[in-house]
Amino acid sequence: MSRYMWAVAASILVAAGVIVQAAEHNPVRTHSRSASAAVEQRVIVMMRGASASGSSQDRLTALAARAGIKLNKSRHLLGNMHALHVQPVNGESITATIARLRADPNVQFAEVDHWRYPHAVPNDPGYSGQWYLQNTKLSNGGYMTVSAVDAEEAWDTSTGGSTLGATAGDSGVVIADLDTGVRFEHPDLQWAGAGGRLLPGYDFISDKTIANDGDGRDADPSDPGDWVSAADAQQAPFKGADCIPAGKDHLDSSWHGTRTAGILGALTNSGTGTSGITWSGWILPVRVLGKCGGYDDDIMAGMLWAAGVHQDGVPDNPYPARIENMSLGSSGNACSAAYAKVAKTLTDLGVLVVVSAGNESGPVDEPANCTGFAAVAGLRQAGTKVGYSSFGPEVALSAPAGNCINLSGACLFSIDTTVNDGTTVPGSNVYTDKLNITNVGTSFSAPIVSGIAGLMLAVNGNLNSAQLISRLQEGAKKPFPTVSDTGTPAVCDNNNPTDNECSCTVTTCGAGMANAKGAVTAALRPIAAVAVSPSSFTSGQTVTLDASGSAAACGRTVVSYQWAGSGGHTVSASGTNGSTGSVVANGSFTVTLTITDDQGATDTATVAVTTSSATPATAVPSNAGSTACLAKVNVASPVTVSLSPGSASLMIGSGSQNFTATVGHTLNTAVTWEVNGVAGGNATVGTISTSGAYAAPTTAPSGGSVTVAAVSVADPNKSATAQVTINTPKSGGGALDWATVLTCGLALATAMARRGRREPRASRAVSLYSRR
Amino acid sequence: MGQPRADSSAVAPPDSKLVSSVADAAGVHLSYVRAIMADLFVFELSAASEQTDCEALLEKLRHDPRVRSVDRDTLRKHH
Repeated sequence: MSRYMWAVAASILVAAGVIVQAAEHNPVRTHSRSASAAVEQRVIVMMRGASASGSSQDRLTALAARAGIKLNKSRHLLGNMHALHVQPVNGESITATIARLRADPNVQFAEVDHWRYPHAVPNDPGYSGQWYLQNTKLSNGGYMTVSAVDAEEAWDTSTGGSTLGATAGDSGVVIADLDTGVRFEHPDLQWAGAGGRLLPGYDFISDKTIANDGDGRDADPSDPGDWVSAADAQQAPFKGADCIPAGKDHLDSSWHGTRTAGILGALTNSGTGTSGITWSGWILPVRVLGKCGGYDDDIMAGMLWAAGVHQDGVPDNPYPARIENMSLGSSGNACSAAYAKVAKTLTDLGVLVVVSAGNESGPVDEPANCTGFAAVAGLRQAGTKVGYSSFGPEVALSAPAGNCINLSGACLFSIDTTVNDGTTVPGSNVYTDKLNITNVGTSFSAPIVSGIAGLMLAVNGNLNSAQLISRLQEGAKKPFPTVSDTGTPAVCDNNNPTDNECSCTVTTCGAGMANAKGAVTAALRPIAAVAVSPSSFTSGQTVTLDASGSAAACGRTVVSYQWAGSGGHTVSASGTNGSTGSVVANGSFTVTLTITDDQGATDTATVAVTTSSATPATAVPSNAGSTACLAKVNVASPVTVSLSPGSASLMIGSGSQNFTATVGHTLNTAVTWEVNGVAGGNATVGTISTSGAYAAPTTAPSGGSVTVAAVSVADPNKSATAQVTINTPKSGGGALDWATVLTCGLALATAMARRGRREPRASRAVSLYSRR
Repeated sequence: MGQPRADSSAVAPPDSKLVSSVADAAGVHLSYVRAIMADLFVFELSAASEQTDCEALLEKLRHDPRVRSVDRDTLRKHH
């Protein structure tokens, strides 16, 4: 049951109205991320002691008086617990009001009476099968989906965009998908700038045999298919590359990049297909895998380019990504020096790289095992490690990877997403399901985590790579279950890799089970930053700790800085809200900073002080950044229009010409036709039908020519034109001019051919050669 | 963190004399393919037909003090 507070309701309704107008796909009810300050505040308090010690109302009135607030209204909830409507002191924040109440010795606890909403459930028909996005519940005949990531609750706060609930675009979040390329024309993906999610991207595969698109690196990351025929498998570079499954002699196309892209961000709440973890934000397809895979040098180049780092011979990426998803790798090696260097470069740029752990049931694959990357292991629906998933101490956290339960028939917990059904070249764009095209693998755990990171960045754009990983882990669901639908599996053991289900631990499957709600909540916390001066000092000297570089999440502000020294050391606070701490260096001790935002969320930072130096903990930045709200990334329309033929020459009255318009980079290929800017033309300039058949006017137009234009319906700013020369036959009894006769003859021939009749050779010959 | 900006600086190939010297010392031939980063390059390695142990040749290169690291350009697969 929803509850309403009138003072806040007004601002919510205004925001919702704006969202409805801006959204493209039937938006659900949406909510502003942070309510504006209310005149009246609502809190829930639990009083100490027996309720018999005076009437409840008297006690609450007395409490309000002691706290300096005005009690407008109260309602008894349970025992000594009451809901209060209060007037704050001098417009103080709800955080300050809560602090006043908590300071009262008669109060056991005081909490904000939060505004709650029904969870955001997208209207995509395929969503019902996407168990992994939903909350934990009994599903598919009584199996508990313990590892489901609770995206619905996260979507109440973030859908990945600048505006909550916005779909396709309206976001500063860019997630790169380094994979086999994508099918742009999949109706649940489509081109960015034309209602879709997919940025132009790039194809980094330099070997044209592997690329399978006729060339090496190029600007088109479309997936042409990565099938390996039986004949291919016997030739270099595929022979011995171990990409054909045992018992088979060929490999069908996987459309792997289209699968991962759909998890990252299928068009959501569109009323068709499936849902993505992010509803908004952009997906940057970077094609690095082709037939049988792809080489490290192309993968590394793609990773760097995606982050905005120049690559020779390739135009710079105009849409640098803050998150890169890589559902790829191979087993058997430690992280190479080359990958370590790339990892360092990307993490220094603040780019989070999420990599699947691998499907070999053993140690984590390279490059997932590289320091700085977020390796993701795969979970069964029960929250236990799925048998095929690799695991190990390098794993940051785990996420659903898909498991079938059944040995044959329906794969009950497949990871439903977008795909193509062509076995070689592209066929129809469809969806994976439990029966026909199933979808399991750690490949699909990684984009779940990358998508969650996208939701996080949308609410706190200052989070760097390490902070994103740390808060993904903080928000993860814990502990891992020790039992599942199969009973009590063995505990996962890094020294004993197994292809059986096992019970995860923090040293085998990371910090916990990825949880979207927990991660977004963690992302909303502010980021404490401390700058120390001077850099070195002597005992007895004052050290200044400046926390003014701390930053709150998007739409929030830091309202307090609290300093505490260990071992009785006193820290003096000064500056705005106490943002500067001063302490006299004397021996070794620590100073802990706690910052609080206007919603009551906190972050802490610790500084170790000795007689000669003060060193913030490794994770504490000197400045948290200034882009909590990411600037919206605007994407130009990719729509193209071409017209054929590009010109024509007709006679007045009887001349006509069929034009064909080709519209690219959008599923809406409709055009409208104009002649000299007049829709459909008119008697003066000639007319053109809705199918592009132009008929010349009966009198010569001004200037002797007209311009036919095909205008895209998807993007009315995109059009193509053709010039049509309108000729007038010479009259007055003289002999026909040769050129005029030639034109007449050709026009006649063209007109006849258009009607599907045989070319009238006799009459054409007469016309052409009449002067001879 | 803000949006990272593209680093538009072009990467120069390594000094060809240095590459030749390193290759000669290891008994291999190195053909420059492309740069990945300012000091990370892709080479195609070839050697006399009797030298079939590629990993041993890479190890020779790794031991050259002028070389920071050598890694095989491995074919990766989707998971």
